[in-house]
Amino acid sequence: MAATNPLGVELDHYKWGFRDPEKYVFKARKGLDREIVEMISSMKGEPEWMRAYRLHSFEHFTRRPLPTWGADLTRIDFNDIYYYLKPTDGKGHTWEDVPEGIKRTFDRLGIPEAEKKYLAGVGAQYESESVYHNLKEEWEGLGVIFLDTDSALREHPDIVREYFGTVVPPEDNKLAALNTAVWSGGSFIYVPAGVRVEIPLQAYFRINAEKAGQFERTMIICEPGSYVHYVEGCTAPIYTTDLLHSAVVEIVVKEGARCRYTTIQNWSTNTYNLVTKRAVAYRDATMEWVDGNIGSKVTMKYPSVYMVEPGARAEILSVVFAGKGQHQDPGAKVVHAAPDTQSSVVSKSIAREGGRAGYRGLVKVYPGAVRSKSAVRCDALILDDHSRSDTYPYMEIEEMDASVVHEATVSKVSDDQLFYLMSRGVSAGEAMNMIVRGFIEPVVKELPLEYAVEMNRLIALEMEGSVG
Amino acid sequence: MARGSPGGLTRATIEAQSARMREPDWVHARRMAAWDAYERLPMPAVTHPQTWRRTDLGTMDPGEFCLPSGTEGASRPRFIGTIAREAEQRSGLITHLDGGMAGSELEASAVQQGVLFLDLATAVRDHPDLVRDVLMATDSWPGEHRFRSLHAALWTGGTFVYVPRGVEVSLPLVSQVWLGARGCAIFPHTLLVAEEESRVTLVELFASATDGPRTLCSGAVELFVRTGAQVQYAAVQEWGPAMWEVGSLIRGHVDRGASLRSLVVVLGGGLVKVDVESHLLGAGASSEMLGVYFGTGAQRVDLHALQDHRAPGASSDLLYRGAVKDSARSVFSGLIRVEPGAQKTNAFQVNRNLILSRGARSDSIPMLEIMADDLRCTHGSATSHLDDEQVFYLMSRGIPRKRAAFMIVEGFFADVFDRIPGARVRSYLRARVAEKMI
Amino acid sequence: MDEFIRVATLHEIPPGSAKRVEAAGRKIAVANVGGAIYAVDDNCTHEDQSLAEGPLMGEILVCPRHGSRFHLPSGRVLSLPAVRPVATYPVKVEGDAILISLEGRPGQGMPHKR
Repeated sequence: MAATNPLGVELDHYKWGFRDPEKYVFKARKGLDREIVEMISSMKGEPEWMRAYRLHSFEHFTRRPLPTWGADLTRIDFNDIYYYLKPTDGKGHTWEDVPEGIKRTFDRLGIPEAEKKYLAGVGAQYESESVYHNLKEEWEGLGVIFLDTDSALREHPDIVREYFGTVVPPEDNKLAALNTAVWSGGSFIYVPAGVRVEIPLQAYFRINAEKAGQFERTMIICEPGSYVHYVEGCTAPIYTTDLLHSAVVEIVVKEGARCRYTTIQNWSTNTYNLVTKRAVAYRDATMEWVDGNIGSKVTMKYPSVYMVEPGARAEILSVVFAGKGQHQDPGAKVVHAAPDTQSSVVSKSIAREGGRAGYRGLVKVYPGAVRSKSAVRCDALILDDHSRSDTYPYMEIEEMDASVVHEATVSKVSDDQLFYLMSRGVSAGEAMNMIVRGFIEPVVKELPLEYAVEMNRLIALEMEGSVG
Repeated sequence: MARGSPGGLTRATIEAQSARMREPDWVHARRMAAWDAYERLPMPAVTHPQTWRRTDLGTMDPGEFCLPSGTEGASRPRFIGTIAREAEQRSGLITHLDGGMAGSELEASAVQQGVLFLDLATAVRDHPDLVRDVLMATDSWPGEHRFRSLHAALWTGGTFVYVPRGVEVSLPLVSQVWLGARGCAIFPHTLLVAEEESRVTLVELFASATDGPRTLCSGAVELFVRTGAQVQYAAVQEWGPAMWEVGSLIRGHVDRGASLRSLVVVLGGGLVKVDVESHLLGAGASSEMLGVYFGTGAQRVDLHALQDHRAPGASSDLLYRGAVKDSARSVFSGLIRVEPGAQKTNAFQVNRNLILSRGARSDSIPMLEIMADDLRCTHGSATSHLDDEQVFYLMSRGIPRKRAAFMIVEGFFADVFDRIPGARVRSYLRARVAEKMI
Repeated sequence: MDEFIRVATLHEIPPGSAKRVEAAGRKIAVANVGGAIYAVDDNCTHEDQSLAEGPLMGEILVCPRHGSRFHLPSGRVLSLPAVRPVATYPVKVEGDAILISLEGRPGQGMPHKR
C-alpha cells in the first residue's frame, strides 16, 4: 500500500483533536493553528488521508524558516490572515467600496458590467452558464475531468491521491507547506490518453468555485499523447483585501503529451503573490509556461519543468512589469535529467517608477543528460533612474555533452527609437507604447488573442505618464 | 623543509608578529581590532549562505594552521628560475618565501623617479603617510566575513607599490610568493597606489610545495588607481594541491578617467575561493577583468567577480574562461551592479566554460543589479564540451586526438593568455595547461 | 564479490528509524521498517543531503531538505524535486547484526510510473 501512496503520512499520527467534529461550532478567526486545519478538512468532508496530510504539512510549516533570498517576506504577518471562513458581519462589499482606480481600469479595458462586479467580488457569479454548459458537455464526452480541486477530491479521490504532493511535496518550501495545510479551490484537470482539448480551459468556467482563492491547489495530469491548454487569472486587477496569495500548481505531462499553462496575474498592489509551480515532463513530452506578472506588491514564482526522460522539452515565456512599490521576483527553472532534452526561457521585464523587476532562474543539467540544450534570454527595460532591474541566473552543469547558453541585456528605451517614431508623427506616449509592445511581443504573441489584446491595453495604461 | 611555529593562530601570534616586525602602534591596533572581529564571526557559510554554499569547507578551522617561522631551508619554486632569467623584461622583482621577504630590487630610473617597491612591513614603518589611509582603511573590512578579519589581523609578507604622479614605470614589476613550509598559513597583502596620470604593471606569481599536509592562504590585493592613471595587474596562481586559498580578494578602486586591467589565472590549489572586484568610483573610469581557470583532478575553484558602477560614464568589461576535467568543479559568479546615478554606464560580462570529462561540473551565475536607466549592459554565459567538429578537423590533418584536444583548449584560453605581460610567463603557463590536459 | 559487511545492529536502529553508516568509503542509509531492514545510498538524488536525517514514514524515506520521497524496497523516487531513484543495497540480518552487500543496485521507478 505504502508503495503506491506517495504521501507516506502515518494516519495514526494525526488523530482528531476533538471528540465530535460534526457538532463543533466554529467561529471564524484569524491566524493558523491545528484546530483551524482540522476544521478546514472537516468542513470539506475530506478523507482521512488528506486530513492527516494537511496536519503533517501544518507542522512542517511552523518549523520551516522563510527563504533568505528573493523579495522581503518578513513583513507578512501569518497571524493576520483568515485561513478559513471570514466573519460575516453583515457588511459585504458593495460596488461603492471598490477603489476608483480599479473601476477606471475596468472601463478602459472594456470589461462588461456584470464581469466587473464579479471581478470586484461584489456581484453574482459571472454568468457564463450557457457557454459553460456547452463546453462542459464536449469535454465530458472526451473523458476530460475539469473541476475545482475540492470537487475532484470528492468525485475522483483515487486519481487525486495518486498525484497529490508528488510534484510539489509540502516540505519543498515554507509556502508549499502552508498551501498543503490550508488549500482550498484551484483547478483539477485530467486528460485521458490521446485526447486533445482544443479550446483553452479557463478558471472562469469553474462554476461554484471561489473566484480567486488565496490558497489554490491546481493539478493537471496529461496522459500520453494528450494536449491541453489551461488559462488562469485575468488582466483586470483583482480587487481583494487578501494579503497573501500562495498557490501550488502540480503538472504531470506523460509520454508525447503537451501542456500549456498560461497565467496573467494582476493582483492588487498590497498582495504577496508567492506561488510554487512545477511540471514534470516524460518522454517526448512538452511543457510550456506562459506567465504575465503585472500586479501584486511582491511576486515570487519560478515556473519549473523537470525533464526526466529523453526528448522532453520545456518552454518558459514571461513578461514582468514592476511599477511603483512593486517587487517582482519571478523566474524559471529547467532541470535536464535525461538525454536529448531541450529548454528555452525568454523573460522580458520592465521596471518603472521605483519598481523592481527581476529574473531568477536555474538551469540544471544532471550527469547523463547528454545532448541537452538550453537557451535562456532575459531582456530588461528600465525606464527611469529610480527603478531597478535584477537578473540572477544560476547554471549548474554536470554533463559535458550539453550546451547551455544564457544572455541578458538591460537598457532603457533608446532615444533614437523614440525620435524616429515621433518624427513620423507619433506622439511621445504612443511611441513609448509601441516600443514597449515590440519589446514584449515575443511573449505576448503566445497569449490567447483576447488576453494579448487586454495585455497590450493594460501595459499601455500602466505606462501612462512614463514619457516626459 | 621549514616548519611552522607551534600553537596555531591566536591573539598571541599577532603580538609576536607585531613585536618581531617592530610595527607602529596603529598597525598593531588595527590587527587587534580585526582579531576581535574574527573571534566574533562564524564561518561565512552561516553569514553568507548564497555566496559560500557552493564550496564546502568541511570542518576546516583556520585557527589550526600556524604561521611559517622563517625562510631557512625553504625550497625554491621552479618558476623563480624562469623569472630570474628574464631580468631585461622587468623593472623590479620582489620575492616572498614562507611569509617573509627574501629580496627586492628595483631598476635605478624608477627609484630616481620616486617609485617605491618594497615589502609592506617596511612600508608601514618607513612610509606611514602613504599607507595608513589606504591599507584596509574601511571600517567594514574586517566585518565582511571571517576570512577578511583573519587576514586583516594576520597579514604577512606583503608588497607595497607606490607610483608618484605622472610617473610611468615602463616594464612590469614582478612579485613572487612561495610557501614551502608544511601545514602553514600565509596572508600576503599587496597594496598598490598609482597616483594621478601614472602608469604601472604589477605581475604576481603564487606557488607552493607540491606535497605535504594542507596549507592555507587568505590573501588580499588592493589597487588604488587615481585620476587618469593606468594600472595593469596580473595574479598567476600555481599553488600545489595541498593549498586551500580561501577568502582571498583582489579589489580595485578606479577613479575618474582612470583604467584598471586585472587578470587572474587559477591553475593550482586543492580548493580556491577568490573575489575579484572593480569599483568604478569616478566618471569615465574603466575596468577590464580577465580570468582563466582550469580545474583538474578533484580541484574546486570558486570565483566571484564584481563590477561595481558608482559613477556615470564608466565602462567595465569582463571575460572569464574556464575549463574543468576529471572530477573537478568550478563556480563562476559575476555581479554587475549599477548604482543609482551611474548613468551612461557600459557594462559587459562574458563567461565561457568547457567541460572536458564526465564527472566534472561547472556552475555559472552571471548576475545583474541595475538601478540606473541610461546604460548599456549585457552579460552572457555559455557552457559546453569540446566541439567534435573541431577535433575531427585537426585529426584529419594528422594530429592525434590528445594533441588536437590540447590545441583547442589552448585556443580557448588564448584570448586571455595573450594579454599576460611577459613572454616567458606566457609560455610557462601554456606548458602547464598542456600538463593538465594529460 | 558478493560479500556482506556488518554495518550496524538492530539495537542501534529501532523500528521506525534510519541511520547513516559508512562502509568502504560509501555513505549508506539503513532503515528499519517495522522489523524489515532496507539500505539505500545516503544521498538524496536531488541535492547533497543525507536521507538518514529525514523522517521515515512506513516504507518511505523523506529527504529533510525538500521533501523528496524514496520507496526503500525499490529505491523508486516517489516525488520531486528528486527525479532519479536511489541505489539500493541487499541486506541480511543475522541475529542482532545488520549486514549489507556493497553490490548496490540502481533504484527503479519514477514518480508517476513504475
